[in-house]
Amino acid sequence: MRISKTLQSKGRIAAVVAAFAVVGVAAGCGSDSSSSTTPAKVDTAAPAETTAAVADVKGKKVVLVSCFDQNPWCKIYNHTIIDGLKAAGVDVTYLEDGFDPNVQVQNLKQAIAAKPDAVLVVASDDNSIVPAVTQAKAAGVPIFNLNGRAADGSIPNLTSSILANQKQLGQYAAENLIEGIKAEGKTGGNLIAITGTAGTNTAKDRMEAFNEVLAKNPTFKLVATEDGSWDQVKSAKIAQQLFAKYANQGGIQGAYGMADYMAAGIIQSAKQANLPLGVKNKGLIVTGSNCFKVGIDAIKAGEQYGTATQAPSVEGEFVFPLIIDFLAGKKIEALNQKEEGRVTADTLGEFGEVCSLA
Amino acid sequence: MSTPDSTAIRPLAAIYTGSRRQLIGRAVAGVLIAFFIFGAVTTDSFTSIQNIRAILVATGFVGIVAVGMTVIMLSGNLFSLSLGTTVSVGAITFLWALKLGLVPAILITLGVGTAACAVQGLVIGAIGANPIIVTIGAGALQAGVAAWLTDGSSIFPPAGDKSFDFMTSTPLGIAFPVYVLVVLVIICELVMRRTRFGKEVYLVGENRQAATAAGLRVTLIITGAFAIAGACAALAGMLLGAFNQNATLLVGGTFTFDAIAAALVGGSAVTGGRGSVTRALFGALIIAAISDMLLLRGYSTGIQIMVKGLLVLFVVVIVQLNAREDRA
Repeated sequence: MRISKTLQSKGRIAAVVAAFAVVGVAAGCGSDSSSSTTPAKVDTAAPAETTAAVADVKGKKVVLVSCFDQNPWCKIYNHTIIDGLKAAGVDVTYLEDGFDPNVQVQNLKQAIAAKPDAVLVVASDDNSIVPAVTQAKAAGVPIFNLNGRAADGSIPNLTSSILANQKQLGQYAAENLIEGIKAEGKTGGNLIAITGTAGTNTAKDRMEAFNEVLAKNPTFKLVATEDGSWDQVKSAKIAQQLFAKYANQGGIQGAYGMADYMAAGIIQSAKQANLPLGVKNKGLIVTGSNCFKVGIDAIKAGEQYGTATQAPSVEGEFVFPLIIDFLAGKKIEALNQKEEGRVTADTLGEFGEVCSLA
Repeated sequence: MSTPDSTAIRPLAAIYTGSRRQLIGRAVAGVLIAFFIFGAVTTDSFTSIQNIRAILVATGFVGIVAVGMTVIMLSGNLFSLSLGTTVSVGAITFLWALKLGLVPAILITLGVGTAACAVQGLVIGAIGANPIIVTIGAGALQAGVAAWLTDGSSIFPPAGDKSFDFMTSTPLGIAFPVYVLVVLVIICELVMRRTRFGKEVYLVGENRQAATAAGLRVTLIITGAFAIAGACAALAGMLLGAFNQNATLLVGGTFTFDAIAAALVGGSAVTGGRGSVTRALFGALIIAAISDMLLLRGYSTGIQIMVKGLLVLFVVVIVQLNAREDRA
């Protein structure tokens, strides 16, 4: 009896506390005009012939296997593709994997088993999807690799790759650092790079291009490359440790955070280490290499020198017309790469809006 | 001629076995300390002021979550696998609620975090549910609700709002979260050592059945332990949101496992009843210092993770050996 009463009492408490939690979260996170994610219209419209192709693709089935809506970049990218395909009458199934390679492989197997007209995949891990891509080819299901370069083992079995130009992103990051440091009147300096997950083709391609630019500018030395795992907090921690490490070795003049939010972590660490930031203060030059609102705001504030595009809405709008073309029976190239843009204070007018969606 | 008394032999065996275990434990601890001192002395810049500040910054956020995680451990409920998500929810809630003013934002954030975890404690305490399963489910629920309410978007503070800048300040060159951590540890240590609630947390953690039989308010105590953990996670989220100036559900990152590691390395028993929040502070500090040392020496991320894993493993073994000896 006592237990029963206790449970009843605790049940009431639970209901009140749970209601408080839900109301509290709702109060804390309700609609916010400053966080609107409606994709802006950009000038990367589908090719003219795609319009004619639309009529031929109604009722076709596509499965998109990709990262999840909890990631702002993924959300805009995925939904731009989904909305574009649906507008053409394509039936789209969206399977989210939360960057978990195991879940992604299961999702891919499920997608292939449904025998759709195309499977689109944004690989969480380039190598882990190789068997599934092979399986798709064997089952006669067309499969497209999106955003980052596929593993070599996947490429022969892919219908096509539709990618961001990752090398351009790395190249622009290096150019931003060199330009910013030279604008301070210096002829060289020590650089650090804090990358996305090490070992992935995305990080490798960006660093390869980054290093190619440095090779042509030997007075700029990359003294440390660390894996920031696309994590802002980890990037901030690593940056502060590297600032300490090189304090007595000439200091750090330039820092590359592979995503803008990683660059934001570097900027906060620099502030906590009392390092000056930006050209105006003849301080640390920071760059990202795929743009987010936090990076655009930092460029406006003079704390970040630049970044590069890979804006999710623009990348998504590059993908869906090609898929529509394929579904309409047109031949598309095995490799399609989106030209990227270099973002600095001088080009904010061109890229600021599309880069502020995520 | 006398026959050996079996009741006399048992304690002797226990003492012998216990001493050997204690010896092994101390030897392992000695080797670890020797490695650390050697590394500290031979690693360039490790003892510089700037690097010590970097270690303290790395300790701050994780340490705050680890304090909460330790209170859960002390209550005998293993650990929470949702505190990282609560950190994210805290960061999101705080940055959004800043439009209502700084004080309301702080109160709302602490309220949401406390309530979200107290509910988990209530379920675990009232019906004896498995804490791992409950906290996994609660983490998914929190993430789902937050994703639904934020529509998956990044949350930013109101444009031009400087009211929370003090959270990213560095008084006397040390990051603000480090001060918060120290104050939090002092308060929690006083609560755990000097109050009835704190003493009952230890008793419930040591032996829940005995505590129940003795008439202790087990459900309330476990709910309270989880509520404290939730408040700590929300506090960390608030500071993290201020530091990052943006928040998504991803900002919680590896906080759950880092906090568990810090609590374990601090020497708290995962089975409950033994340990302290002060130890969690040292656990977080040790992990941050060793990670820093490895990075300064140029070891890869993989090696850093591996060493952290080995450290946790060693400490758990030492704690387990000592606990067995105490029981013997």
